[in-house]
Amino acid sequence: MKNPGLPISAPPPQPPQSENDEIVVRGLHKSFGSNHVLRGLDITIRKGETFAVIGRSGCGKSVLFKHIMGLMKPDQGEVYVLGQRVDTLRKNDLLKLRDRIGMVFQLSALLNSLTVRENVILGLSERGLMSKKEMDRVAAEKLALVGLDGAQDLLPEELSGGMKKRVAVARTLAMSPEIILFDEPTTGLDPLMSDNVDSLIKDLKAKVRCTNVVVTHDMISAFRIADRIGMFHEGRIVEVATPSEFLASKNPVVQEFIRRTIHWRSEDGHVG
Amino acid sequence: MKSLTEPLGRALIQMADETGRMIALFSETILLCRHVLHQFHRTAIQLVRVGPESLPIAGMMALFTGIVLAMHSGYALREYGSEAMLSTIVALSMVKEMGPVLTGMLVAGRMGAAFAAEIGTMRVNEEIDALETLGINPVRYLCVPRLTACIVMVPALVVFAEIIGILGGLIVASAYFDIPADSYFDSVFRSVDVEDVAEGLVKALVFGMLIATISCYRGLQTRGGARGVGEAITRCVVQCFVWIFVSNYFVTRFFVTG
Repeated sequence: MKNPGLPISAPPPQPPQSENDEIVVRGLHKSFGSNHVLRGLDITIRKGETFAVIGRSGCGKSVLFKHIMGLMKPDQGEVYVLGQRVDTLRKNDLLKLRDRIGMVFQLSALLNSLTVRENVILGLSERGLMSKKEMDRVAAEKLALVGLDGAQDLLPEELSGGMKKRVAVARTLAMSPEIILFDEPTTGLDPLMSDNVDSLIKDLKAKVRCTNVVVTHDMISAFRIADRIGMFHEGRIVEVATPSEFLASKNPVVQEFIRRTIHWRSEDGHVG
Repeated sequence: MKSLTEPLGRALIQMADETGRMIALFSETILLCRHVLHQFHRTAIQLVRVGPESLPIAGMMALFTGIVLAMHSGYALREYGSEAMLSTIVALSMVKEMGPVLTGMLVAGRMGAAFAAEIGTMRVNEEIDALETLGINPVRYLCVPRLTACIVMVPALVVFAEIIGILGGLIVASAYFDIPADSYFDSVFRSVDVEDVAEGLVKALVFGMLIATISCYRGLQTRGGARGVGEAITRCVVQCFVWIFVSNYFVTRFFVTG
């Protein structure tokens, strides 16, 4: 399955042996019909870091997240999250594991029939472990954390794209996850709003101290927030490096991505 | 020959696969119905939507069905001087057949389509994925309230439609055939027994379970944006109608042959 022509610099990870390896993906393959999206993907994400997975839109980055959450089963390969093998877990164990992982969806995925407050406490209210008063306190606290105090009684349709993303983050934080997955958090937002969301992710790292994994095609955003960046290309991670190492990478795929991003940003009137 | 049998075989396999998945969804939903009290608010909303909100249209449908049924049978019976039999024909037709089948089709078109559209839209907007990431079982959250509502409210709607249909027959009986109300009702009560009512209610129960299961299944299986939602609704309504007719035959056969 491996293409020997591809410049791969990231070594294939082993199943988690260190407590620091929170997510380990090994040899992941996934096809949709004739479309072979993931082709032996390997990745290791460490505890407490912000890891950005970058690559072109539609290259399978979101599919990777769905495997990490156990929303999809791999055709081949292994996915370990917090020491448990996700792809073989039973449904009930998977639901328990998901309590420890949060995901912020590309389109926010708020339930349109619920208010902002009800969306934020959705996971808590379904568990029935907290009183209404306690849940209201959690909702107010998490909404304040994302800068949305006062929006509790609004409906999702009354919010802007950026506000929806913030509510989705608050909903995830309400579950106190150990890992948060951000799926294209700045897609569809104007540059100012993108900056706000990036700042929010950076703030969360300082305040909440959880592991953040961000998939994005916005390289500028990745450079702002990430401790390490993984380059996604043709269904595999072809480079893993810190932002400064990434810029200096000799990998032709990385160089091409950087060159095209700078070209696009300068054509679009943005700083490259 | 192979070009003919291959697609046919594939379609049959797909149909068997889908039927199996629907049975699995139904079984899971029934098992999760033990949590229905925890879902009281959401279940109450669905109960009101399926039941009270369907009353006006169910009443209109049943009233005019009863009127037309009485007119056809009344004029046919007049030729044999047996107009008095009109009430028996209207009552038995409404209780055993027209009430359950027409109400089932009405609920399938009205609520089955709505369920498939709602759940399908949630699927394409990743809201169902979001539920799963929050550790919420979508079957428990979405299907249990809808199945409960259909199991409770479709039989109730059928009883309502049967009563209104019989009253529609009374209008025609007294206006066109000079049959007094007391003899009309007397004939109705003499001709309809417990087993007839039970047949109608069993059909209603089966239709309610089918509508909820098919609509939830079609919603959960939705793929591909707005077009996918449209396809889910169409397939949901068509499948509900087909299964209502098929199951109607089996329940009727069970009661007729004992």
